[in-house]
Amino acid sequence: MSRRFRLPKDRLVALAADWGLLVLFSYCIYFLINHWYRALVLVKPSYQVPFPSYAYALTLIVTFLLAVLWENFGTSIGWKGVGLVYSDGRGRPLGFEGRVVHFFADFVSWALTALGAAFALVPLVGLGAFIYGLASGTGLTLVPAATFWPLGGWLATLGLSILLLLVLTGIAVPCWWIARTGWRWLWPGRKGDVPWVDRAAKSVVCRPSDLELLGRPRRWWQTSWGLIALLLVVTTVYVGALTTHVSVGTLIRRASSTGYFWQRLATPDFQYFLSPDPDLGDTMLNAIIQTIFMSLMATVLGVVFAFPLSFLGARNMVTKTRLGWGVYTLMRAFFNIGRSIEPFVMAVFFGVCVGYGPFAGVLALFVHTIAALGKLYSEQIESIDPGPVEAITASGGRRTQVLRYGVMPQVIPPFLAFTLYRWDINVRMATIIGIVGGGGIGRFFNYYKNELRYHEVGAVIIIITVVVWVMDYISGRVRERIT
Amino acid sequence: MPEPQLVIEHVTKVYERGDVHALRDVSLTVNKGEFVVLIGLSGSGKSTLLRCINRLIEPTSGRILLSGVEITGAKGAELRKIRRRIGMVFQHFNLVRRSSVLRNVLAGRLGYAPPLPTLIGRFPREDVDRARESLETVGLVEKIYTRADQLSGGQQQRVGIARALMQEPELILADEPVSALDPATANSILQYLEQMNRERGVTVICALHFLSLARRYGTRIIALKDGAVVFEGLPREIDHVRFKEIYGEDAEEVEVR
Repeated sequence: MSRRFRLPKDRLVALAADWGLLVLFSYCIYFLINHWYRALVLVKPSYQVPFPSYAYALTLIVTFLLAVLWENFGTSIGWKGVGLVYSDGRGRPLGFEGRVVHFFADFVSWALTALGAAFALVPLVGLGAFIYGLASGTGLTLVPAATFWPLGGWLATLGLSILLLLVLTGIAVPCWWIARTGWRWLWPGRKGDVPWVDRAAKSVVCRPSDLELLGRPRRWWQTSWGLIALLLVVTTVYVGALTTHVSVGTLIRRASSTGYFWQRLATPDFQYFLSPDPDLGDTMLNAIIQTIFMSLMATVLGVVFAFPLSFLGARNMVTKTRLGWGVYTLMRAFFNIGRSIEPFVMAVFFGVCVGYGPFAGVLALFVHTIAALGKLYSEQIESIDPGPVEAITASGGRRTQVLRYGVMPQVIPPFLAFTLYRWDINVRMATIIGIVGGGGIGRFFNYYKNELRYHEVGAVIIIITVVVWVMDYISGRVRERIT
Repeated sequence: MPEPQLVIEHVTKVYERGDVHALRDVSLTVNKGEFVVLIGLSGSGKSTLLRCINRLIEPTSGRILLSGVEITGAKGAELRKIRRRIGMVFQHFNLVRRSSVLRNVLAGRLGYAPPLPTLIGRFPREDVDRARESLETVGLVEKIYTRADQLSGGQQQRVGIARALMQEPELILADEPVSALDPATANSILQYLEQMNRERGVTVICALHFLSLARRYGTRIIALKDGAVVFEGLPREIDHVRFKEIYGEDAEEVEVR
């Protein structure tokens, strides 16, 4: 049956996508039901329409079946995205009627059989449990309910289930057979003359490019997948707005009464720029200098570690042996995980380890810098011209010499550019890492904000903006010169 | 009786990925002072054969001997000692584009230079003098501090030859050294190789695409087809029929002068 299992990987990807979309959609629906129910019945805002835990499993199963159904109809978003269509076996798209037949052939028959089998399994498991309970002489332990359900009850359920299985399969098999062989016996007068049924029976999954075009292709809003996608996007955005309490009304109502706040921000108070603030024990100037040094330390330390590690994480440097593959995979994993943990989260960890302050901030930025630079560096190493490496190997150079003369001259200038870029980012992050206890100017910002001293907050914002802008400008110009 | 410099015995190379037979039982003998030209279509195994000789590619089976020393099976320091006697010139020059001409030429000396000083970029004074001499040989001494990527293709290839000269090679492998160059430049590059062959007695094995160039410079021609040697002989022995055998029925000879 090659035609059923063509393009298996793409079909799995499409199924996963469709399933995911339907799960998302069902969440949206549940959310909207909650929202509207509250609005209609005027119950308290925290009220949730009951959703027992087994309903999650049920939702997953039902959405999966729906996804399969959707794909069997040949117009799912997953199929569109991956690029799969039904052909009628003669190089043309399968028409609507054909897809209906296909739906019966593939989906109904399989689904009914699966459902029947599932029902048959329930009493079989129960019976097994009952026998186990009898044999062990301790009463039933596997399924508590069975202790008050006599053997006769089990047998009756078993019989019913088998009957159900037979009935369902009894529907499923003819469905499948009918769709595959045509409906000839249903239309005695039109022997062999139901062409779309034949087409459905011969249908195959293929690429859109394998099909000949029948006239102008329809625009996306004229197709079912396009309309469904539109519905999904609109629903998701609506639910997203509700979840995140996005509200233009609130913005207008609240913002209009915050004039005093803006007015204070707009009149920044620089009195603690040079003289120390008695509450914080330091000047803003010292704080911003500390911030810049924090970013510098994080960058320098990060480079020291990222430089050697990046060679271990570059495919063309290490993957000649099995051990090399292991090292490469490990380094890659480290780079990716390290980058996905935000420095702010790390600052909290390190604050616990070494005490909140600039050192914790440096450590947090440092770890993130290793991962980020390591990845950039190793990708640069992977993209070098292999020619010089080959030439130096051919002239009898050692491995170290190949690295020194074949690889390094090619990667050092881009490495410098990446490092500057990273320093630039680190300055930006260091200014605010103080908010989570990382020291520097961020500490001032956090303190003033909590004390509602908005004149000083305004001053801090201006300092941060100027410093970040200047660093950005300088690093941009220098990088232009290097590359 | 000419002295055999390079002996290739039953060398086979199978690329496991794709199960491609790049070389099929190739056996050759190259004598000292010869200028051997390898011809054949793209994918006929010329590059693979050249790279098997200095073990940039591991042959699957067979033996290769350089002046009686077995190259196949050599490891570590021994392999490096053999490699530094074999110069190589590449189709795409394989220079470090960002480095100066001098650095690129000195890189050819890495097989001889002391390892630790070279790691911090120091080369013995003799090597620097030698680099200058090599560049004089190829007429590029005035470009010594220029970045390699500022040179034209022909100049870059001359740097490539100067780099090979630094090894004081007894054998030069040239892998389509003129394929990326225009015809006039191609001739001048091959003349440098010919000069080294005549004046210094360096054996040259050179893969070429143009038969006219092969006839003009080669003292012997070896043709490969699908990884096997299909012709071995003097340049004048290649007539119309032989040509069709090597390049296929549809090929037309193109002249390059």
